[in-house]
Amino acid sequence: MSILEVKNVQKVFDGRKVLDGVNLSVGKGETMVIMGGSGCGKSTLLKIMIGQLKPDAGEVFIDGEEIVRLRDAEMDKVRLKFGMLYQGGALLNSLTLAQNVALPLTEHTRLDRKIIDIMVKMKLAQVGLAGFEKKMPSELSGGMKKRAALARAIALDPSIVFYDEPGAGLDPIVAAVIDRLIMDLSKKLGMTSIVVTHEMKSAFRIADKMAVLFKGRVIAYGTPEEIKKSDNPYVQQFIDGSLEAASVSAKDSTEEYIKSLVEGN
Amino acid sequence: MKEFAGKIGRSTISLIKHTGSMWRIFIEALYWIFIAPFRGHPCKMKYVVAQMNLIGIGSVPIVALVNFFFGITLAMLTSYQLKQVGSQELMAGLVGVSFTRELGPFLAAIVVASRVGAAITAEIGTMAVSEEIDALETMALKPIRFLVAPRLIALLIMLPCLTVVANVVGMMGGYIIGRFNLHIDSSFYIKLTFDYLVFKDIWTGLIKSVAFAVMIALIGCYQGLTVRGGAAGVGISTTQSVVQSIIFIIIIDCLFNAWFYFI
Repeated sequence: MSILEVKNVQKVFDGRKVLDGVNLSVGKGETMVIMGGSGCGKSTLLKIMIGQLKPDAGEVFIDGEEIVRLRDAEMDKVRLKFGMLYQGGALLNSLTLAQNVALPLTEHTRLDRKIIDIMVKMKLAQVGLAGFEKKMPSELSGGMKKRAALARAIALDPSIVFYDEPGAGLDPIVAAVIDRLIMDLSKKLGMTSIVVTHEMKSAFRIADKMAVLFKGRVIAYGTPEEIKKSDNPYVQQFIDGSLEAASVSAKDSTEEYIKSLVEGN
Repeated sequence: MKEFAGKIGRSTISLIKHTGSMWRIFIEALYWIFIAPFRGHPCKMKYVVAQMNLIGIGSVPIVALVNFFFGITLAMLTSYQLKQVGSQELMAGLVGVSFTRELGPFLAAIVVASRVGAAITAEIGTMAVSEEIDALETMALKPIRFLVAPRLIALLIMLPCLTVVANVVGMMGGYIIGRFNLHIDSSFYIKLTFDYLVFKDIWTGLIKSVAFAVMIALIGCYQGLTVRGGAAGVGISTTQSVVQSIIFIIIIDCLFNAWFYFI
């Protein structure tokens, strides 16, 4: 059964079609990786999936509930079902780590302060940050910030966690640590993960399913093995990270692709 | 000509759009201040107190300094003019009325707009570019409740307080000239000041300071929330916030003065 479903989503910005009929389906407990080059529309798709942006057409279902037409107050109830890890962590810099993680708990539950403190410690320990409760975000490294942000994202035990470029700006070892955390959350706690990334190593490490976006469309969808075997030249070029014109399809040469990025169409 | 007309049209539409957005933020902030507490969602007092400290207590020295020297300057200029008609002692009342009606609220608002308005925009703007505001929304937490409402409450409380400080210190500046330059006796100087002051002078100034507080908070927060384009965008919005706040303070001040003048 799908916990997240995207149906024929379209989005146009200034006459430019950023998403052109995207369809996706993510099963409960699955880790879905959405890949694609810069400007392919993956960040827009992520914003639509978390209700931050309304699509021009199409539907998004979270746990069976269509979210596109929901009012803000109704959407807030859906928001409690998912967590989000932003690219830079997006921790509130004026609060300590403990206060950051406690924020959703104090605002959305009626739990006693002592219980919240225990839960905060547990969540921070879960991401390997036990003992860092009183640290300010500015005192942490990039990887630690992301782990703390992940602790905040899972504070309410959501059924889905969205990740925006979780490995961006991190060294390969720290990126692997974040990947391990994503896999643990998925395998041990049964959380569904939707990861937007363009880092191939990480993507193939964590994915149960993968979708490759190109010019606002899903051009490949399947398990990592299926994606590896895809006969789509762009997918192969994207996996290899090659600039060879021979490896792209005739209609999308490297020059055309670069031109499309520069010109934004 | 066509291009010029188009530019004016676009600017007008943009102004209407921004005013509409600011109005919506104001209404939502009022909801979080006056209605939400009765529905079990009070504004966090610790955020309000922190902002009051930052906005109010932190601004006292500079507000006092500016108004003290302005009081001295005003006293010198007026006594220089009054000397020609032989009524230098009238300076005490003139300084008193000038500060309570106009200079106190105006100078306090200008100082706060420059110091606090800029800080509000820079802080909220930095939060916007580092996705902290998006994160709040994703956690189903309202940025207006967490960021705008505490600042608006703090400014509504602290700017009138700072205005009182500005009035008192400005009059003290006048007193320095009256006492040490014009050799007016202290008690007589105070009597002269209160002889010319009426209650209306004080409350009109305080009402203006409340309007200034709303303007500074709204412009500061709106500019911060709408920052685009990273660090450079924060810089641009911060400058715009200060410039717009000062312009609107002057316009509102003029409108209030006209209103109080004719009533």
